[in-house]
Amino acid sequence: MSQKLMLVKYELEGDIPVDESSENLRSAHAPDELIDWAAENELLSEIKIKESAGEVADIPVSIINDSEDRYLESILQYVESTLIRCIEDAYSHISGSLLISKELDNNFEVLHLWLEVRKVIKEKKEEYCNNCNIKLVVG
Amino acid sequence: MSKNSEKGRKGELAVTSILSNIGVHEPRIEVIRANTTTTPENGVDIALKCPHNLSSKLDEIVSTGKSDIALANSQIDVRVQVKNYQRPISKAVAQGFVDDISKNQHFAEHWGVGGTRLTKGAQEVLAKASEVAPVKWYTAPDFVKIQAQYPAVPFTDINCDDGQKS
Repeated sequence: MSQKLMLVKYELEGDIPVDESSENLRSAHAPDELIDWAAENELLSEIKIKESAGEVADIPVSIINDSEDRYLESILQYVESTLIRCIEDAYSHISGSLLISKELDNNFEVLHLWLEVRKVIKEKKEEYCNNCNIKLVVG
Repeated sequence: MSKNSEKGRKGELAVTSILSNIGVHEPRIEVIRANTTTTPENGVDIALKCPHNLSSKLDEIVSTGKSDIALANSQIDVRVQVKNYQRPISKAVAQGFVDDISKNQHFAEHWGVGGTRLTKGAQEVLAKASEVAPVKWYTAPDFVKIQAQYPAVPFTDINCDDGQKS
């Protein structure tokens, strides 16, 4: 099941996001490993948003909990540790001047995936840290 | 609650199973899964090679419970993305699905499967995407109707066109 980590901008109505107003700013495919880790570490929350303005908030949406700065820092650290592991994996497929190209293709694809995830989290952390209109949505 | 990866694996395998059953009942349908269930491969969870009017037949089954549409000889490639969610598909999720169309232009149609229903925002996103590419979304209740039309056939009976064992 392909899922994405998406930086989504919402209009709020009484602090509650409105689905119909949402706009995806940036997204990356989210590896299951990341989502499972976020859930195990209670960094994944379910909030209820309004389908349209004036309606009851009854649409559940999974988001990365950003109520405290340390939560985003924690997930960013996890992604960066994984990236370092990916680089080490890629390096292990280089022996002298010999490259194992098929393995490297796979390593670089995985590396690219996690780099894109890092971009999304960094943008939230650095540009929209205390912005309640912008959520990190998983879906 | 199941781990996300476990929900994803089950959802993809269940949809693969239903699509495979359709292929047992109907001609010229191939179900292709080149990746494991936990690999996000540019939004392609399952690929189908199927008659170009299969989605018209499935749409009719969803709206009326049955269909007499005869499937065409010409085949197309279809991208299928599965969302094993017990909740509505939001606008952001629908947009994420639509955004993957540009990376998968060799597919003639793009199908999303899952969720209890589409929010109004999600419906608008899919309607807009339909102007540039054939896009379908079958919710979980829609897929249950399709599943009911194509029940699993015992392995001993799969070669019978008339219901008799061969």
